[in-house]
Amino acid sequence: MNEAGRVHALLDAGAEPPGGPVLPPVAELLARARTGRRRRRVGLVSLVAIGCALIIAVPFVVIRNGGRPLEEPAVYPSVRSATAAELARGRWDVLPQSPVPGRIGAAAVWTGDEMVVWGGASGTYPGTLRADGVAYEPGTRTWRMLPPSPLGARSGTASVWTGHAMFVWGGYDSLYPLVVSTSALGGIFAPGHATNSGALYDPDRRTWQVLPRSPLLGGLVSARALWTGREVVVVGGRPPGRGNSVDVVAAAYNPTSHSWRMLPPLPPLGLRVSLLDAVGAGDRIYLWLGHLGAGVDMLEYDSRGNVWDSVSGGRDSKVSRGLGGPLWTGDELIVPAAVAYRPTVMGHYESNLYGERLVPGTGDWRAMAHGPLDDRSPLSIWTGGALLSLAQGGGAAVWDPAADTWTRLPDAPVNIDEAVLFGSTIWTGRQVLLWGPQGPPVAFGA
Amino acid sequence: MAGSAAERAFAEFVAARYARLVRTGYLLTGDRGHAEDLVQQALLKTFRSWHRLEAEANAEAYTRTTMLRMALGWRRRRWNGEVPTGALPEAASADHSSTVDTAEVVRRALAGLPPGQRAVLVLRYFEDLSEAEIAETLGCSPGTVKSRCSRALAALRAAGLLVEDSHKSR
Repeated sequence: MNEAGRVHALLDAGAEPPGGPVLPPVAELLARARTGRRRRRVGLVSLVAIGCALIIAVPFVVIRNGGRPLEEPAVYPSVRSATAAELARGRWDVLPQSPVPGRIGAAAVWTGDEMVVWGGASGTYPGTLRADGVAYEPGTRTWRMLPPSPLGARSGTASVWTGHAMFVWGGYDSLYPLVVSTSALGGIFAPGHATNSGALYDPDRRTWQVLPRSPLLGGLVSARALWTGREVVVVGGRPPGRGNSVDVVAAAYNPTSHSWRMLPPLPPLGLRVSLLDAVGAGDRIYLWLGHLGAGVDMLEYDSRGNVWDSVSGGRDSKVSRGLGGPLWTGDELIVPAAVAYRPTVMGHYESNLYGERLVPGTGDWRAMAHGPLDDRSPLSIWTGGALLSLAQGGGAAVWDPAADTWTRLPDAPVNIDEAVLFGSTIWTGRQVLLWGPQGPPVAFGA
Repeated sequence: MAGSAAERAFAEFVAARYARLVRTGYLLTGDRGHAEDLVQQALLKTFRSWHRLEAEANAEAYTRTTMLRMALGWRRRRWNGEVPTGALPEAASADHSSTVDTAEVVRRALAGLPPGQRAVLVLRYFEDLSEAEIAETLGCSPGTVKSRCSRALAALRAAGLLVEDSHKSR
């Protein structure tokens, strides 16, 4: 170990404060923050500001909606994808209210006919963990409850559609300290009560089947489930011990044999992993592993060869940039715009961010044009022919991969902030469905 | 605005990063109570600026920088119990395998460093910041960072905490 390594080790050893585990006082801090905010709001200045805001907002709303009620949903073309040009003519649709509350951190899949949502947490912070589920069928604009699940209430599960069933595994069975979503911070690891149980839901038979116990003892944090065509690969971090870094491990569930197997260990990275994201690309899986202060490593898992490999680039290449929820288009990997995963300093907020695209095997990362929402930590959805970008505040834009150009779309007619950050988002082939704990469910489509 | 997206994102940020920030605070202050106080005050400032921060990386950097500046300010105002010296106290022995716990040795070693050197050491080797990032965080020049880091490492070497024959640093 060189001298820098010894200093690292010394500080790591000296950073553990005495007196037991450090638990984040989330509720207390929020209460103090709210109190401070209330105090600042009191007074004439606030009243004047509110008055001004009302004066500005009223005509703005009238202009934006043109004084008309929201339009009825369009008749969607019978295609399984939507191009940027089609989406540029798209519109928002407020969907019927569901029979159960909206939630965050839920398992959500598209079956080909329905959006199936299970678990998560509803209500305002800290919320209530849910063990119920519901399905929405856009064709009939109807909701139906799922039969009772054999799983207990939980949030932050790993879920994926296998072609026949919704796979649901893991998650957290406690809201304390606070783990409601594994995606909110791009896969950041957080303490919690990770579970090691799961089930399959068959929407045709409306039945649940309990999964055998996985070899991932103790559960995983920031778990992701990805379908390779034959198996569900579950990857995540073993619950952290010290700090927020973890060992990343993976296992695969085979629906045919109804059994699990461990995947080979990941190649040694030499750095602590503090952030994870993943995307399935046919029979391969790509992992992005963030090291706080030292960029991002990228790995590829070939499910046919059962081997891991490093993706060219390394920590000094463009792979080192941020993680914006990677996507697979069928030909390319897209890493939407995100703040680079390295420390920045106060007063210097990164802007003019842009996404990147890679044809696997070429090592040739190409920058995407800067999008109108790229600096607002948007949610990105691949529609089969375009990239749909949704941001807090209701903004929407679409990216055309052929022309590398962005088109601004109409703003959402309702508050979609929580749905964008933590809610359930599904591309149906014709429209994107958004359902969160605030406001009604909505759809946007061509 | 109870339960708003910002509050939820902030709550997740706190849940995920609080322990790590307290460890940084502990290295800076040498006292758990001071460290938690420091982190909580910095987090409240972060919450007030949450709408400007957008991303977790920015929020963490903002919180850490606030902690640093508050810690150095506190040190100037009221932490009078520690007297920085050019050399580390004799108690910071390299023989930390026997009677003295490693963590205590490190705490004493850091306590013997001037606050500026201590901050640079923690940012460089615990937070993995570059010299340029440390300079911007502390509001000083990269040259100052380099010299403080060099002096801090020399002090650790002199105290026997680092092996003498290697002079490679990051």
